[in-house]
Amino acid sequence: MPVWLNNPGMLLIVAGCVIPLLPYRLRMAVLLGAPIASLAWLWQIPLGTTTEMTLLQYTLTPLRVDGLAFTFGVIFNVAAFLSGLYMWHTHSRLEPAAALIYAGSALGAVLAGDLITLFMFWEVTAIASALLLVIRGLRDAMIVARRYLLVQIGSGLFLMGGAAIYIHATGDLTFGHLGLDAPGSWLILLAFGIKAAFPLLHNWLQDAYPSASPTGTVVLSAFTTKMAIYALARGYAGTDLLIPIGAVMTIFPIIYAMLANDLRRVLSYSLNVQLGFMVVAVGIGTELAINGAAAHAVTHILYKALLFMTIGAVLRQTGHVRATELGGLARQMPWTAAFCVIGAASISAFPLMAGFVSKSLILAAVAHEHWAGTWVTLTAASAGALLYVGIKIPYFAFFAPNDQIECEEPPLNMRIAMGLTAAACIALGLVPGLLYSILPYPVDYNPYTASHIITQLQLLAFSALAFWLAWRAGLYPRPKRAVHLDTDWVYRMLLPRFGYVAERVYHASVAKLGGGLSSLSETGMGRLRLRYDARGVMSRTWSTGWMVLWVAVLLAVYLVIYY
Amino acid sequence: MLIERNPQKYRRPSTLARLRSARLLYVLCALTLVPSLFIHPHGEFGFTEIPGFHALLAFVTGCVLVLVAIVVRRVIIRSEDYYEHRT
Repeated sequence: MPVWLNNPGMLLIVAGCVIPLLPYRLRMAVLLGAPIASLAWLWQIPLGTTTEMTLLQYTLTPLRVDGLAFTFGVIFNVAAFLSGLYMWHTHSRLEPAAALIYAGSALGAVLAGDLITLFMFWEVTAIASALLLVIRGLRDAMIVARRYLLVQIGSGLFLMGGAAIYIHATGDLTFGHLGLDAPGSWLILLAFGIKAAFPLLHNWLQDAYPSASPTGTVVLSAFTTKMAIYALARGYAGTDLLIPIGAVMTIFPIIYAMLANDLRRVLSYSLNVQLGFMVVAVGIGTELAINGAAAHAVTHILYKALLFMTIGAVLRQTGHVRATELGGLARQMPWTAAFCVIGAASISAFPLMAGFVSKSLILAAVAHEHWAGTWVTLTAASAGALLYVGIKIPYFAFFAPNDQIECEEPPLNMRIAMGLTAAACIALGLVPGLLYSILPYPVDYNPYTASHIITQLQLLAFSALAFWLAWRAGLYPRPKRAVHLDTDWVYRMLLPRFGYVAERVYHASVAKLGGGLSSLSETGMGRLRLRYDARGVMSRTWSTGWMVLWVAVLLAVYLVIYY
Repeated sequence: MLIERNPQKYRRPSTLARLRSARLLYVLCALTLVPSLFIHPHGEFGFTEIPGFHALLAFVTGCVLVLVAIVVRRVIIRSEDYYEHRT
């Protein structure tokens, strides 16, 4: 087998390329079988394995399995399997293909040992994920996909530029710790920051994810951002700059999540908040913190996929996804409602749920390094989780007063996928050892101490109290059918408007200046025409008599001159 | 699918039930405070040892977030078709 194919990520990509050619049953078998095979393959590769190949004069490392890559590789395969199960009922040929190629390229990026391989997989994720948006075929989704692709390819270009500078300056291709002092590393950080949805670079996420199909969003939510977190953890662990960036990320999307009407947009903003926790952990950079970031990526992929699955099921069954139109579905979709509550409890870090055991690792790491302000910010953000997603999502989808919708439970495969994901959330919460055993570094931490449980329960109870009092006082922002401006305003409104004004100015100036120029040239042309036109002096047809007379005159002149 | 009414599938909770669940929430809040009188968490920071620190932090955060959201919404809200006719 060629070295570049000897990679679990390439297995998924090849499977994804084959899938559109297969009949339905075989297609679905490949869709579910490929992630299982890839996971089994990854599992039996001993940690510390690398493979090398030569391309032009460079020695690439297409496969590098170590602790950090292993954790992300495992959860990417699990996510690919669960989202495959969730899209079992679709008869689309392209969507499973795009999903597998996307998952495979994200896996390949995580397992890449050098910057060039990383860049190639980085770009494939961009294209495959944009394909997931395009497949839906809606006009709006196409426009969104164009914006999305622009941002993603932009991130790839920054990565390419940064990597080129780095490789040129150091002669080293290895993707290891970079830090901010390495040549080209600011460009690489910018590339990672775009995909990790840093503040002000974040809005592609909330723009694109709510526009995908119900099944597509589940796939999208898992890979791109967590791949970026992995890349940050690999290249920038312990970079202090990331701590304030992450802290801001945990707070400001909360406001947008509280205001947003589209429930998938609410989830996208809350995804951004959770990424902030991981970015802070990467910034702290100790073994405990990197463990926390990896653990939080694992649990976050699971419970966020679960929430997107339940809301996707609601969208598929009712055709609605906005809070203003939903509500009252709990009796009609009891299973989906129950899974949604489990996901919401998990993201709010209820004890016994997955979010609790991973978030507390990050908070412990922050406290251990004595970042008091950051610790308070993160704790506040995790209390806020109940306000913007923990209560909001289940309430508006399933419990809000609404007797206008009649629907049924989603197809069996969707329920099984949601059930498995919910079971995983609870299992990781009940037996944290399961989660801690796949983390990059050995874990010596017990989340279930009496004081930790008590403080967490206080946090939850009192933020629920704040929610309830604000709700009863009519202060909690009710969902509205409206647009809330975010940074996408810059490229959806400001730049086009700027371009429009520039165009007007251009046309006006052309009309003025051009008018002057053309009148000038017109006079010139008129004069020329007077002499050289068909009836001009110089091209007039002369009669023979006139010619003879002129010749006689000329001869007379010569005679006079030479005589 | 939108239909006229679907009363048997959805029943609006009565005011009594709402009051009862609200009372349950108050009791739960009070209950979570009780053990912190006896258990002293030994955190890395001094301020976490104040009894009920987490409760206070959560409550204040909730209130501040709601108030900030109200103010921010006034600034950034636009009509639903804001991006449709932009020039």
